[in-house]
Amino acid sequence: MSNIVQVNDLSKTYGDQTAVNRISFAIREGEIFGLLGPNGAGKTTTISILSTLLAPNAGEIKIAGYDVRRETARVKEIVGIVPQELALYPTLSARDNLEFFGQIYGLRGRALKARIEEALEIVGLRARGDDVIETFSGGMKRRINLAAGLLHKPKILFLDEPTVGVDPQSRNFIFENVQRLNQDGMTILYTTHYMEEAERLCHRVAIIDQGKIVALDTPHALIAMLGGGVIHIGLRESPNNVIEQVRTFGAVKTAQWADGKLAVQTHNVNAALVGVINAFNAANVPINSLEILEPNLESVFLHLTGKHLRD
Amino acid sequence: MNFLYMTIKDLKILLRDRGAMVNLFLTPLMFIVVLSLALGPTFRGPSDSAIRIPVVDEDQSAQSQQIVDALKAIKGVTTETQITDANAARALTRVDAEDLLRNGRRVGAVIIPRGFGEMLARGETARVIVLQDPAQANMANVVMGVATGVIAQVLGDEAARRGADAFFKSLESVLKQLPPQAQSQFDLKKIQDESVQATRHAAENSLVKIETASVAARRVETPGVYEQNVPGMSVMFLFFIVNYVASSILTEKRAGTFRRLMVAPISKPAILAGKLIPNFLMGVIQLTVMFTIGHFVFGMKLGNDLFALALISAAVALAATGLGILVAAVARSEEQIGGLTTLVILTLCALGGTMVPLFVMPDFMQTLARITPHAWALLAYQDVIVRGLGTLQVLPNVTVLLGFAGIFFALALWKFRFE
Repeated sequence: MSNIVQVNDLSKTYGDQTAVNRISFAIREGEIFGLLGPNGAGKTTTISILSTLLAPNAGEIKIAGYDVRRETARVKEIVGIVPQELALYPTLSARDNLEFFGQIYGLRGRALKARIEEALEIVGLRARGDDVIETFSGGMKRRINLAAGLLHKPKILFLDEPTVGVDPQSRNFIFENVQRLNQDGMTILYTTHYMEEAERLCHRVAIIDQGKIVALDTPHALIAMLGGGVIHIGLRESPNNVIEQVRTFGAVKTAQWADGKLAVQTHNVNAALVGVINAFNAANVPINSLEILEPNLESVFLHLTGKHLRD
Repeated sequence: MNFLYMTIKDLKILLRDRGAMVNLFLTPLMFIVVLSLALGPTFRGPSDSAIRIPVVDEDQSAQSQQIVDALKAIKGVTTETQITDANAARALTRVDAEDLLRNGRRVGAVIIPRGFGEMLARGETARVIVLQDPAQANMANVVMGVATGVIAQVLGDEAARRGADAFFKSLESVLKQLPPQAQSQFDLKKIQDESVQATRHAAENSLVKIETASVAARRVETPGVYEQNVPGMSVMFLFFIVNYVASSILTEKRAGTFRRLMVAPISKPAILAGKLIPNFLMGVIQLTVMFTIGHFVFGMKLGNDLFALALISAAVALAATGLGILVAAVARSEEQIGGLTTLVILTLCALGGTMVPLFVMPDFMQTLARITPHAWALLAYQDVIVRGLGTLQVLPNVTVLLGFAGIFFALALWKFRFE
């Protein structure tokens, strides 16, 4: 698969705040690419730059071979965006909203009407098309928000936290829509701070924190980084002799001391746990805290950044 | 073309906003009705402003009639010599005149008492009585001044004759001492008549002669109550569109729809035009509705040039919309828009003559009013509907209004943040 998006050394600052710090990644044509990170990590800024809304301070971005800074008009035709906000006119009907967004993408007449009905069908709201947006539930508004980004059949769709504030039923509906659009050949850049969504939907995930990509791989490979799980042991001081001993255990992959905490990456948490605790007891080193991280993306994020995704 | 779709979309949104419709259409109508009813008496036409002076001629002599005729000939003064009682007109009496003053309906009256003419003929001092309402001293003094002036003018010949008589009486006693032959050389009667003639001629051809010449001032006519309030309130509430323009842009930015517009293949000028045109159209519609109601419901004159009215309306609506975009460019929140528009709109309205008529303002305020588009629009409207002027005469005002619009847009473009 060829790359439809290529980002090299992208940076964006607001005053003395760095929102995106020299990130590089590529999105392959036809994949669902996830940007996973907590609020304020730089996900929306990245999407805004990719969709031509913001100018970067540095870096090179190409979408379908077009330079985002120089060939803006071309990029705008290829890209569709579903913003984090409910970017709709609440006093207009769903059809009126879609008609307007279709018109500004150059759709007219029958083609426009057909695309409106198609988009409403995709999000399952054709029967409510003439209803005013302000009468919709949060989940239904999100679905119309998605439909508005699909009207001009973009090659690549940017979905910025599309499930924020959505009920489980609408969330599932959005997941199904995203998967169906992808199966029909649409490339999708999906930002979220929900690790379950990234795990469920994305072919590859870039974990982003404080404007930097800290890991990028398939969800499976990222989770595999943790092996059979990670044990975090809180200690007052670094007991070097015990750490060396722990590293020799068969169930232990690595053992790293940092910030008053020993992170023990294991092949099997249960097998490693008893040996590790015994080693500290034998050396008479008191354990202050003990945390076992299940192998999932949340744990990967915590392991890589020392923070929870929803911090 | 995209700006056209934005225009249609924004008009749909605005037309569905009932609060906006009430503010833009019903509120100004309510203000027009209330203010016009309340302030109607202060907007009387020119015929009502003439000074009415009751004149009672008890003497009915040639001399008294001369005074009455002279009073009637004065411009700006309406003399009343008759009164209507039970549908029949009769001569005004001293009692009638006193009643008119006592009831506060007149501020002064002139009474020419019986015997006026005879006393003049006998060379005695004749009296003319001027009744005055002391509570209206200024206006009563005007009546006194008018009466004095007229009497001096009418009785000038009589005064000259009396002066000449005195001189000729002493001359006659001197002549009597001359020999009869010498006396016959002097025709005293003829000399006396010639002397009076010469005195009158000299008075008429005095060293200083005051001539009056009328210069038709451009704005001599002042508007009536609806001619002030309909354009005034229309212009005032037109500028309320500033709030809707600014709020509409800020709401789009907050809701994320502006972001959608920015990533769509639509240019930045088209986005701004799409925000400007619907509000401009709404402003023109608002002015048209107000003037139509003003004309057909309140009987306000529209002048002779509807094209001039349309031109002024378009120019002032453009200025109001431009100000709205400028407010959107500098304000950061709904609260700032609310505060800024209230301050700017009300200040400009008060200064621009939409609340208080410009013609009652002191000169420096009338000059200061020219810093507002409101004053230029209002004066142009009144030039057309009150003074009957046309497109050519209001072009300078229209140009200034377009200048305001241009400055507002330029500043807005400079300050506007698309990101």
